[in-house]
Amino acid sequence: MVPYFSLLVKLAIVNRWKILFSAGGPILALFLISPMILNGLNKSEIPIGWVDEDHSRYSNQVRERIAGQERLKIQDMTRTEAIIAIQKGDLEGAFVINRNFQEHIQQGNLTETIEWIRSEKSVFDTFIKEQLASEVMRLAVNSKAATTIQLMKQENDSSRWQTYYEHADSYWEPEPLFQMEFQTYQVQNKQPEKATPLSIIGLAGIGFTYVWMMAALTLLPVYPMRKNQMISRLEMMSGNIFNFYGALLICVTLLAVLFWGIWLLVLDFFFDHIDMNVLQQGLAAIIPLLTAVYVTFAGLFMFQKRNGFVLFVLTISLVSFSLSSLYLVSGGEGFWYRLLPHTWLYEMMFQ
Amino acid sequence: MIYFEQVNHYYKHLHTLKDISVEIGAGESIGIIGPNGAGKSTFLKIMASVLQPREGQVYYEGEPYTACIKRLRKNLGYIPQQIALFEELSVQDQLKFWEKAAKRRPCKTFMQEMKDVLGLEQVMNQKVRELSGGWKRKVNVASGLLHDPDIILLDEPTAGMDLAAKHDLLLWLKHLHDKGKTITIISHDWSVISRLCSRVLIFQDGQLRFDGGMDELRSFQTTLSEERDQELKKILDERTV
Ligand SMILES: Nc1ncnc2c1ncn2[C@@H]1O[C@H](COP(=O)(O)OP(=O)(O)OP(=O)(O)O)[C@@H](O)[C@H]1O
Ligand SMILES: [Mg+2]
Repeated sequence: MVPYFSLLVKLAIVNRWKILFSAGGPILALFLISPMILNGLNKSEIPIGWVDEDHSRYSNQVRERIAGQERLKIQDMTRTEAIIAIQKGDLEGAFVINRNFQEHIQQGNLTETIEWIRSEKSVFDTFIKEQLASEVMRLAVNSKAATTIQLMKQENDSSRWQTYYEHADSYWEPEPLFQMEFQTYQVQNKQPEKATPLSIIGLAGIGFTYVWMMAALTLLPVYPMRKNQMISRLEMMSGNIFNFYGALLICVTLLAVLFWGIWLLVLDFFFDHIDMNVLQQGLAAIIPLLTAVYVTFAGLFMFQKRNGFVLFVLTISLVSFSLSSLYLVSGGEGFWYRLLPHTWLYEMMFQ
Repeated sequence: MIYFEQVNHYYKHLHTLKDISVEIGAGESIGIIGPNGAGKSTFLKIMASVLQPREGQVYYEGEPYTACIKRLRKNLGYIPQQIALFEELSVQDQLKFWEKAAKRRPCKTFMQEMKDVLGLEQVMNQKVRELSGGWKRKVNVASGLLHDPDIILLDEPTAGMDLAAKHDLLLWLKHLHDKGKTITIISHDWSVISRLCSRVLIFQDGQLRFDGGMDELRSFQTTLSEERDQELKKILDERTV
C-alpha cells in the first residue's frame, strides 16, 4: 500500500492549487455571508409599539429615553396598527400615550395617561412596562416638586416653575433611576442554554454536503483509470487491486476528515460568540460523514459507468440534504429520515 | 507454457472469441494480426488474466489460471493498447512508482539497460503530459516491463511511433527475446512482426484463422477466396509491399 500512498501524495502535491482552491472557495463564501447571518442571529431585540396621541415635549422625552435602551426596538404607529400587529404576533406589546399626557403629569395626575396593550403570550413587555413607569414617575415627581414649591411660595409666575422642575430633575442625573452594582459571570453549565441556531446547523449541513462532494470528486478519476486500463495494469503489476482501493479509501477518509475539520474550525471562528460547541458536536458528526463517504465509495463498484456514479452521488447527497433540512424545519416524523446522513448530523448538532 | 482450451468470450451478446485453442511455448515470440474488432485485444487480455473467459480454461504450466493467478502475474508483463500513465507525474516518478508497485522487485541493472536502449534518460524530468505520443508509448512500455517479467504481452506498442522510436523498442524486445523471454505482440505493422516473431496468429471475427510460422503465410494466402476473405487478403498483401 505504501507506493500508493506516496503516489496519491505526489498527485495531491501536483494538484495542490486545485485542492487549495476547492478548500478555500467555500471558506471565502462563508466569510462573505457570515456578516449577514450574524446580523440575523443578533435580532434578539424586543419589538414594542409606540402610539403617541399627545405629541408633547414630555411624551417625546419619555420615548427618547425608552428608545435609548438596548434590546428594545420601538416602532411608531397608530392605535389600530398596534392592535393588528399584536394580533399577528409581530409585536410583544404596545404603549399608547393618551392625549393630554403632559397636562395630566404636570398636574400630578397619573391615572389614564398611558394605556398598555399586550399580547397574551408576551413575556418581555412587563420589563418595558417597568422602564416606562419609572420614566413617567420621574416626570411626575419632578412636576409635583415644582408645583409644590410654587404653592408654598405662593408664586404665580409660570417661568419659575420650569426652574424648579429642572432642579428636581437634576437629582436623577447622571444615572437616572435606581442603580445597583452588578457583576457578570460566565455560565458554566455544561449544557449550552440555547439550542444551536438553525442558520448554523444549516451551514453545517452545507459544509457536510460539500465535503461529501469533495470525496466523490476524489474518487472520480477511478473511472478514466478503468477505461485506460490503468486499474488492470495496477492489478497485474502488484498482484491484486485491493491495495489500490484500500489506499484510496484511507486517503478519501483522511481528506473528508480534514476538510470537515477545516469547515468546523471556520464555523467556530466566524460564529465564536454564539453559545454552542460547534467543534464538539461537529466531531461526532464524523460518523455520518464517513458513512456517506463509504456509501459513495461503494458506488464505485455498483456503477460501471462514470455518469451512473455521478448521478448516484448527486441524488443521494442532495436528497439527504434537502429532505433532512425539511425535516429539521418542519419537525417531520418517520423512520426513513434516519437513513439520511444529514439527519444524523442535524440531530447531533441539536443536542 | 500457456494453453488456451476451447475458450469462448462474450461482451454481453457479442461473441468476441470463438472456441480458441492454442498453446504458447516458453521462449516463443508470437505476432498477432487481424482486422479491427477481430478479438485480438480480448485474446491478449484473457492471456494476461485481466478478463476471464465465459467458457473454456486457460492453463499456465499445467495449472488453471484461477489456481495460480499470483504466480502468473508475478511473471507477466502486460502493456494494454491504451496508454495508461499518470499524466501529472514526471517520467522519473512514474517509473519509480511502478518499480515500487511491482510485486516482483526489479533489478537495477535491468532498469538501467532498459532506460539506455529506449533512450529514456533524456526525458526523465519531463512530465508525461508534456511528452509526444511516441515517447508516451515508450514510457508506457517501460513502465509495464521494468520488473523484468518472463512473459511479455504487448497490445500495439508501436502505434504512433516514428521509425527511430520503433527501432529502439524492437531492439529492446529482441534483446529480451534473446534472453529467453516469451513475447506475444499485437501489431498491424508487418515490419514489427517479421522482425520480432517466428510465429503468427491471425484473428478474424473472433476466430483464429491462422496459426503458424512466418514461412507458412504464403501458402495460407493462396487458400483465401477472393470474395469471402477480402479483408484478410488485404492485410496479407501489405506484408509483401
Ligand atoms: N468493454 C467492451 N464492451 C463491449 N464490447 C467490447 C468491449 N471491448 C471490446 N468490445 C468489442 O469486442 C470486439 C473485439 O474487440 P477487441 O478489442 O478484442 O478487438 P481488436 O481485435 O483488438 O481490435 P483493434 O484492432 O481495433 O484493437 C469488438 O467488436 C469490440 O467492439
Ligand atoms: Mg485491440
